[in-house]
Amino acid sequence: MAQTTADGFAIPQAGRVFEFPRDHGSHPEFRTEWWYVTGHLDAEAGRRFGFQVTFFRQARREDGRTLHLHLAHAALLDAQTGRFVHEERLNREGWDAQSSETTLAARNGNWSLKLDEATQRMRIAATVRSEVLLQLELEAVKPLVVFGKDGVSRKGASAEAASHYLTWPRLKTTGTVKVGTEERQVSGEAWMDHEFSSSQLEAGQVGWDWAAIQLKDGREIMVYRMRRKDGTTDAFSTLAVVERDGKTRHVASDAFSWEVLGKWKSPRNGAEYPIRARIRFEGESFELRPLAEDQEQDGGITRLPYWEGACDVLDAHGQVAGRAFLELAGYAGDLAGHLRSQ
Amino acid sequence: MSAVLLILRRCALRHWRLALRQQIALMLILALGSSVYLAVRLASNAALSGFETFTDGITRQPDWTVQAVSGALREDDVREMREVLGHRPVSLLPVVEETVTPADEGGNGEIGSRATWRLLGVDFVALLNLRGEAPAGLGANLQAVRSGVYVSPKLGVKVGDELRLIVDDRVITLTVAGVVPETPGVPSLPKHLLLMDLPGAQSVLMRGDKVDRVEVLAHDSALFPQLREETGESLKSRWQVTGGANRRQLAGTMTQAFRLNLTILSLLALLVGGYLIFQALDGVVLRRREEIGILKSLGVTDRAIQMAFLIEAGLLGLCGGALGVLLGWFGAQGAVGGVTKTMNALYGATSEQQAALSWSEALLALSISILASLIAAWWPARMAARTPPAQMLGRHATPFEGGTVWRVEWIGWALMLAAVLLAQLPVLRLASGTRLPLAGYAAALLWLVGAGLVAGAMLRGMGRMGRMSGAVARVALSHLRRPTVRHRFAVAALASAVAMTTGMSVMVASFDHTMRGWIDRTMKADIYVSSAGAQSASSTHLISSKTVETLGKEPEVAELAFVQARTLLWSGGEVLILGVDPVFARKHGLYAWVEAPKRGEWWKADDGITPAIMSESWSERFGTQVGDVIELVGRKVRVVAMNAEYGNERGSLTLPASAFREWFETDEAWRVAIMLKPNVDAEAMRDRMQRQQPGLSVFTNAHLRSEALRIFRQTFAVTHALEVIGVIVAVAGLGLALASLMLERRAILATLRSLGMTRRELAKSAALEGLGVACAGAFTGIVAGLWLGWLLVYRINKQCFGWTLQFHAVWWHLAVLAAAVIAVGVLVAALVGRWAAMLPAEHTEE
Repeated sequence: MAQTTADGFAIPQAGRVFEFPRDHGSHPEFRTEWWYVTGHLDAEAGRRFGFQVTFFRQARREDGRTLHLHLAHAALLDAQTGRFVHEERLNREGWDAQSSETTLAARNGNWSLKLDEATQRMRIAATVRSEVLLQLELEAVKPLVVFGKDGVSRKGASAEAASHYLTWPRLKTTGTVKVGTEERQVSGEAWMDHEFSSSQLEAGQVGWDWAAIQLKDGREIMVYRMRRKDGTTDAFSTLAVVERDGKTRHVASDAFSWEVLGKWKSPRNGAEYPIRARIRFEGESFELRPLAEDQEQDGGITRLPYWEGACDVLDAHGQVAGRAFLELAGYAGDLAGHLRSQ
Repeated sequence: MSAVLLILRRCALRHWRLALRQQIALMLILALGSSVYLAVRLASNAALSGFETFTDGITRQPDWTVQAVSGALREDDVREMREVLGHRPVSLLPVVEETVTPADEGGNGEIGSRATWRLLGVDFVALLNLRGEAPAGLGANLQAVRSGVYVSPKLGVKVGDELRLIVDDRVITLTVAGVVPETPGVPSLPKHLLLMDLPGAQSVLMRGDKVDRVEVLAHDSALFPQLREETGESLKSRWQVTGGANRRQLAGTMTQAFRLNLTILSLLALLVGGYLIFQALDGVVLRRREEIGILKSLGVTDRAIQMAFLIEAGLLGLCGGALGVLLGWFGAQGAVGGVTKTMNALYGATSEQQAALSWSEALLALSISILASLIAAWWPARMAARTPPAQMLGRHATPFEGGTVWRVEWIGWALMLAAVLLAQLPVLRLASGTRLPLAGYAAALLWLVGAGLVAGAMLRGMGRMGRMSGAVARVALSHLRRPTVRHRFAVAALASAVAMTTGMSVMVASFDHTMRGWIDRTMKADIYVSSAGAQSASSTHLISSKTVETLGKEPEVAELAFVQARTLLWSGGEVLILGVDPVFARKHGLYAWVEAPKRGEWWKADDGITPAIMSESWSERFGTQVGDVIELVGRKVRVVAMNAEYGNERGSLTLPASAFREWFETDEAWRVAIMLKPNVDAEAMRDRMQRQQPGLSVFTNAHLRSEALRIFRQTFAVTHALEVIGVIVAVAGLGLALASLMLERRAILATLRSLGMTRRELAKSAALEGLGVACAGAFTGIVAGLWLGWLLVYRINKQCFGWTLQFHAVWWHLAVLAAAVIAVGVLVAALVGRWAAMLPAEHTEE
């Protein structure tokens, strides 16, 4: 298997031995990398929030040099009011954005995600549109999971369409959420993906639906389906269950189903997102029901809108069995074209 | 009130219609006064706005500008800024900025004649985060913009065009990558701003990974209500932080003295204009005295009459002011080029702006016109109201002799004494080293008014001188022996205008004289070299050490030395730090010492504290004395001497070259001085160097000397215009005053005619009377102007600029001034006399 893409970026290799904290840090030899934190927060008086703070790094060759661009998204949903505040940010590596190559330390403007190696806790600080300030501390309550076979998570038939996919599936989260002048103590649970690759979509694929489900029974489910241009689901879609003891098992793409229950049309760009879905596997059924319809990141800079939202998870009896974050990418804008142009 | 309106309608408006030309003339006078003030103000504001941070064209005005304490900023600085700022939502925009000069516009060889543009390098990717606050489309295709330049549509070039520009000592070619369209609500690019993506700009400007400054945008919000202030305070701990409108403010501070001079001058011109307005309105009252008498006889109250005159004056002021706004705006368009050029040469690159008229400026000019009109009308209106009807209607009314204040000469002497005392007061020091010679300006004003009052005494003297003459002269001089308030006003206006002109003439002559001496002492090299982009005294264009080396290798060069320079913010103001080869400077005696160093080898330090020479302006600005130890960029410096330096008024500190290179880590030169071997033709050498190095400006000694003098003279070009206006206004005032006197005396004139005096004799008599007034005005004006010159040279100029000038008066200039004023005065008086001689005994409207 080739070690690099045609333009010299690394291709994920099976059997890679991860070393930490180094591998929590940046891997500039890969084209694309992200640190993706999503979670659910509870405050006094039943107030509930969904949040997302994500850091991306994307590299490209330019005049024989490599240019790293750092994209970042931050969002907060106030479940009570349905108000969704989000912001997108893009910076060149260097002046106002960096990601460490030795440990987990990513920064984009005043947004930061850092791992305190002494306490093994992560800290997030981010503002959203000068309206929201998130200051959170995250502590893993379950061990780090490496998804995929032999450390490689396949996204398509091409060997390049693969990633190294590391996840903390359940992070105890505490801190404060300040909205305007009101500051609230919050606690909850978050999910963090750290994924690096050199190609996310292969020819024929147009996007993906992804969900991170945290069940009350102590299990977590990571599921994604790669969507093809013809509307079918790619065979390289997958579902993985993280058991209570942290052990992970993968379910093949033909052994689970993703049924769309309802759609929401974006008033901004007309994209139709399948925001309600039912996932079935091994006799279990989980319905993802969003806390608010409009949780669309409008992609003001990249022109790549996507939907990323907090959901409740209902079991087959309609009872709340957990919480989830659902991501629906490639419904607006040319995601595949954008990724190819990188 | 109805009586007032009735008077206005039946009398004032009727007179306006009947004597339309006179009313228009009066309006023009008012318009002239306010327009001069407005034009100067608009032009200097427009020139000043060229100093505004050019980033304003890219985003909204930054809240803070962060610069390194010395040198440039690097990526690590921004990381540190983020550490300091924590989670505060603040945008940081790294910026490189440099002046560039179009290589194909050669100028006319004068410094400042070549266009100065700005090249701004800003991170296009970071700009994308400022949606709605930055021009759209930048960074959309990073590949295309990397080495290209974005321009305003106003520049008139298209995508793909090439721009050849001079940067430092190099000629570079940039391709136009885009023309940024103007979008409503989003800042548009100024015409002479070239915009590049940061890495591209760093590359063409050879800045490596450094930037000049970081612009900080910090929005206050409910979440961070004190964000702006907190941000500034946090960053100040480590960097030089200047506030939002700081550049304009800094430029304002830099050029305050210059602008203040212009404003004060225009106000002084207005003062002289005020005399004129008074005389004109006085004449109006005089012509209507019969009507006023009738109205009073009919029971109209004094108050209503006074009010009607004041309203009429107010209306005149309004019309004149409106006309003044128009004239002022047109004048400003003409003046802005000159003022900008001067500011550019003196203070650094500013781009020529259009003098824009704002509501506030227009209202100010209108208010000045109305106020001047009301003040000038107040006394004539009061007189009209208070004079009894019998006196108003009487054919042989007693000539009007005016208010007591203008007849008491000791008040004039007292004002002049007060002026002398005021002149002794120290300068008012404001923040950041700005000095405001308020007492000096007040002294000038009091002196001018005082001299005007005292000039009345001269009239009596003139009257006594003519006892031996014939009947015509005796009639003329009899009026001067008992001068009316109109005589006094005329002579006061003339004396003030002549004094102002004399004072200015002395100051300019002193400047010229001192500059020549200074240039003789300090400019001894045969050839001087700077970057072709260096179009001002404070330009930051540098010459690389490689180029300096190449120049030094020319076989005709005997010796070469260079000056290094860096501008710094120090004590809140911008200062110039120079690095020189002290051995070269000493060998050729290049310093003009105000306070010489105690030891010849001043650059040698015994105690490890770096020795330095401060300019006189530095000392004046910051109060530093020779022997003081000051702290600069974290290092101690001992001031060992003070030199005269007329190159800049911000103040400069000269370090030995070794210290400069160590501190600022640079070997680039700012100016290069070359001594040629004997018998080498400097002109031919200059031409050759210029051909070989198109990015450089090469001057021979003679050319640079003439350029230095030209720039300094240019500084005073505006003042000359104001002087001429002052004198014209004063001479016109003399004519108006005489016209009023003749009108008042028309009964006497009729009597004199019936006694056998011819019209020619009457005109001659008026001319003689005018001669007396002109002589008194010119003489008093010149004497008073000499002291005013002293005040300007030794007090105001020293306090403003910190430059010591040697007093120098060009006597023939003053003689010509006096002769011109007297000649024109006599001519105007003769014309008025001719007109008056034909006046019928009964009053008719003209």
